[in-house]
Amino acid sequence: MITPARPRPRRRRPGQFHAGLGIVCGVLLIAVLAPHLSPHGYADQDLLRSLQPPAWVKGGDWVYPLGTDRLGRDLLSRLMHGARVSIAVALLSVGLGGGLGTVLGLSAGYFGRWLDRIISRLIDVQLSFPPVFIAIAVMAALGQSLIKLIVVLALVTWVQYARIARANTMSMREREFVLAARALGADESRVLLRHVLPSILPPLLVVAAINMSSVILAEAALSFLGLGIQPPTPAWGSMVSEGRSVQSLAWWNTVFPGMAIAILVIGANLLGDGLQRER
Amino acid sequence: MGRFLVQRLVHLVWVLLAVSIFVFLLIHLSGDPIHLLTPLDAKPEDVERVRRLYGLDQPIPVQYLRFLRNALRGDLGESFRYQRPAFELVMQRLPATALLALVTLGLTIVVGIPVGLWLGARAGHAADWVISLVTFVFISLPSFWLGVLLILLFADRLRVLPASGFESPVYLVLPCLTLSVYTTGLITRLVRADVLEVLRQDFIRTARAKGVGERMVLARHALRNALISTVTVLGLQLGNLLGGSVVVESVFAWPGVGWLMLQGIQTRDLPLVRAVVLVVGSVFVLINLVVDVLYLYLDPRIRYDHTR
Amino acid sequence: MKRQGHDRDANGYRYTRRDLLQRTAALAATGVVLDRWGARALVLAAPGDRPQPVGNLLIVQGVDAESLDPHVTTSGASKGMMWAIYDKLMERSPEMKIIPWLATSWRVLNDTTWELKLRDNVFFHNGEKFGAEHVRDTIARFKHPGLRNVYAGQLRPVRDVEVVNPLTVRVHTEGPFALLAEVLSIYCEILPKAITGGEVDPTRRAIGTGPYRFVEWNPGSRMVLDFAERPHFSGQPKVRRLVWRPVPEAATRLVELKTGAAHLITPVDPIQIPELEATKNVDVIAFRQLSSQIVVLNSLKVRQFQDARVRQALNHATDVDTLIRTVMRGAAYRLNSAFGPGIPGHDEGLRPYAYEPDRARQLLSEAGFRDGFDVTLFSPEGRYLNDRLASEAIAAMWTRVGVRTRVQVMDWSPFVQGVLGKTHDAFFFQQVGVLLDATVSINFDSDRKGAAWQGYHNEEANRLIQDAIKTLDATRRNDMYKRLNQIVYRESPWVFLWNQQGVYAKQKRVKGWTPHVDGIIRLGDINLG
Repeated sequence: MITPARPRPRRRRPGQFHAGLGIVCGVLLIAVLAPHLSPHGYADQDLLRSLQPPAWVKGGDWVYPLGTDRLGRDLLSRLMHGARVSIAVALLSVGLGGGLGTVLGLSAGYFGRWLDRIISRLIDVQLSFPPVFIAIAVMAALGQSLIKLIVVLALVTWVQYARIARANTMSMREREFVLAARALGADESRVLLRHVLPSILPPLLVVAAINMSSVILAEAALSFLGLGIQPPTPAWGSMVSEGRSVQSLAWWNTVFPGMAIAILVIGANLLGDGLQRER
Repeated sequence: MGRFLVQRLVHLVWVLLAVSIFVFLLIHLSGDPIHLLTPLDAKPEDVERVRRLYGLDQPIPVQYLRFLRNALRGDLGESFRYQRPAFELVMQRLPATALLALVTLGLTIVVGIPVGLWLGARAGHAADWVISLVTFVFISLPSFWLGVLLILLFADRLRVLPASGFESPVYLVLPCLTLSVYTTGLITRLVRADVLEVLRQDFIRTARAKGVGERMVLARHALRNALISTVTVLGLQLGNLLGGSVVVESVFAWPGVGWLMLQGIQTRDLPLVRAVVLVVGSVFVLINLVVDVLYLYLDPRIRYDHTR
Repeated sequence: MKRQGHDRDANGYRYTRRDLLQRTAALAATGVVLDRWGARALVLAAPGDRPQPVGNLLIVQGVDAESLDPHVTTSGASKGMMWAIYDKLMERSPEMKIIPWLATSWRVLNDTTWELKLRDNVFFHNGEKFGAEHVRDTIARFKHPGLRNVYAGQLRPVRDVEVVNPLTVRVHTEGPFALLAEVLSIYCEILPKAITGGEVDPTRRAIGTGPYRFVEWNPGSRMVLDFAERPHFSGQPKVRRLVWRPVPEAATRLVELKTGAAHLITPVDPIQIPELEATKNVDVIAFRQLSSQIVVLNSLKVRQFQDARVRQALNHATDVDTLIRTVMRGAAYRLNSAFGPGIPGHDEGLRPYAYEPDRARQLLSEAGFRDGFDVTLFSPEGRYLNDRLASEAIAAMWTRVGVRTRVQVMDWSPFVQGVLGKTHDAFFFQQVGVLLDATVSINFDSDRKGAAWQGYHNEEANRLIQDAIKTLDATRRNDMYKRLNQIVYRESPWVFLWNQQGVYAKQKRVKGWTPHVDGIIRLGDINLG
């Protein structure tokens, strides 16, 4: 989980941003419309059709376009429903973590003194925790649940936003337009909301986009280890794990969910990259 | 420098304290550990007796204080499952994980930096486009998926590499390959970007105007900046590597601390999990300390402030 | 392209095919193949014409041993490893018959005394000669309250062990203890004085009388055993070195077997069977496991379950054969009652409850629940093969006859707490009868209340259970269990499902080994042919 160390060169590639946005929105759309779009239910079993190959391979048919898993469940439908988990976790964790981090970083940077000291200490301590390691430990101990997963990932990532928010707020604090607003008697919250926040938002959005790809990968890894959401809801990571027992015979169970993860992450990375260049 | 070091060491103590409390709460909040330590067909009186022997009948704060007292004496408790000192178990498995991390880092540096430098110098060429695309994909692949695919290809289909375990150096190949794909992609892109930025800066143009050899200019400044970025990012990546190692160790049955922790949590082996998290946490902080020092050394322009 | 050099020990020692061929020829020439199992007297081959053990055998299991201390280990995987190093007083044949081992014979002297005759010429790996004192000291240690031994209670009725002479002990018990032989065939591995005296730490070094000697254990990585120098009374081990490795992923275990890096793997996911059967040089061994898969009905919590007709109705409402065919993919065997084959009390004559949903509705109606009622079926997640899937299918079947069922899936720890706390309406469960009698039947006893007891009450059943463990005559005891089985079958506090299929996979060249139906690996004559 990196934060940008230096500003990127000015080479313009606006196509990246749009491509990334397209991919992410595409997945979001699929996720939202999954119950209507998917050809079958994600839990519908047909044990007679178990481990059927994709349609274009001998033995497959277009009723189950990407093949079936060991219980005869349609892979395409499960992929679509799995998108819901990935997108939900991606957006909500980033939102929650970002929101929390921004608020805390803003407060620390603006109000300073003891608030800053506490929050900075908190940031420091948490930065010393290897993030995914801790997420794994927590989820393994607390059990599976979508909510817990989102909260845990948010709690592990908020520091990245907080640091940037704090640093930028501190520099904003002394800028003329802020000083002017305060001189004019505007109350603090107004200043914060109308002047400071909009200025520090752009770099935070960049962090959010980059963070999103890390969060998606983390969720996939946790699901793979069996520590993510509760079955029977499909998640791409756990689908890869389920496909492992039959990976020689039925490669599609392992390959397609992994590809889905990679595509979404590529989209998030394109988004992040594109956001940086557009600055 | 001395003051800085002392500051960081104090920080280490804070962190360890927080981590130990965290792990304690974690294991206890997730239900009665005794059910995972004893089989269902054990008689109730035996279960209770064993519970008392493990000290699990004491209230939680008492258990924690007892742990603290022992920890200060260097005793991190005995693993419930293995009945050996937890610290010893962790230290026994740490080298395998450390080896994995080091070889991965080594591979990353050896491949990533030169390729990144080379690409930066040839920005815009066909090779640049292709390799940039490749690295972009590299940083988007889930590590466990890659590991599974590599096993499928090299161990199952081609039969040229072993699938799991750690019996000899060749067993390192697949796990390290899996882990280093992400980090190498990252470093390559980073170094490339740094090179491009350096090429843009004014003093390069001035140096060129003065006729100083372009090669030398490139070498000194670009390399220096590349190293700074690399050091920063690798330091941060260490966290990822440790987390990534849990997954990769599980896939490859690699006898390291990541897998040990996972097993410990699943069997509610509290002393073991505590010991793993404490040791790994300390290592992590120490490495970050080294990174900070290196950073200061490499780039005296950066002024150290409290939040780095 | 075949890769040579799979025969490689932990130190990288390489073994060529040529050596193997030569050794095999020598083996065949001496023509001595000892059958380890069965009650036949075992004859020691004369020293000098005993073939040298050869080869390195690599066994891959899903989990690692918990400890080197056999009295503390609980998992089947650990036991398998321990029993290569340590011996018990009795052993079990693959059909689970009790056979002499370190004890050559045993008999009941009176209601409170057993006499065991011990085997002569048995030595520990550190040179100590095995004798009565070792039995006394080991049992004392096994029962010691300071030891984290969750099975100490199994030997609670033992008051003390008297050394009559170096090869004879008398075990004095509180009241009649009918199951001493059963217990000693599963628990209480015999330890040397070096360990019971405290000189050697059993969690670091294992010293036993078994056919293999401990070399090293790297937790999580491998355990290495070499053949013991002194011949073992069951026939010398044919393998020179044994290496056990834990690999948690079923898919990876499969790859290890296919590439020849492992010679024997367990457990095998049934869905991998077709692939394994299609692989050359690999054998798949499937057997009927001892553990019973059932649904337990809690009559303390659900008052409808207090009526036997309701419980019978649920048995009739569950289409077990279809479940076995679809959910378990044929990898299970129908249970006809509480006790499957191999367990005392098993009755071949009992016909399993037929799938008759109409009869189920009729019974419910007779019991006064024509409009049905609501129930929650609890299931653990991933603890038993296809637990959740089976539960969901069963819930659908029950709902169809009017018992509206919803499934609640839980993590193991809270699930167990619900079982013990008797808070689950009904739950999908497995009963493992390691001792093959008392352990399972205690769940029907409303006085003693086993872990899975959920309210079933029958006076005669209680009496049978409590008397059986005091009945020293094995035939009479088995008749009592049969009677118990018939009662429980009729009153069905459980819905009887199946025995799962246990699956091992091994390289074809691994010979001389048969699996035991309790799923624990006992090595026997295992060799690389």
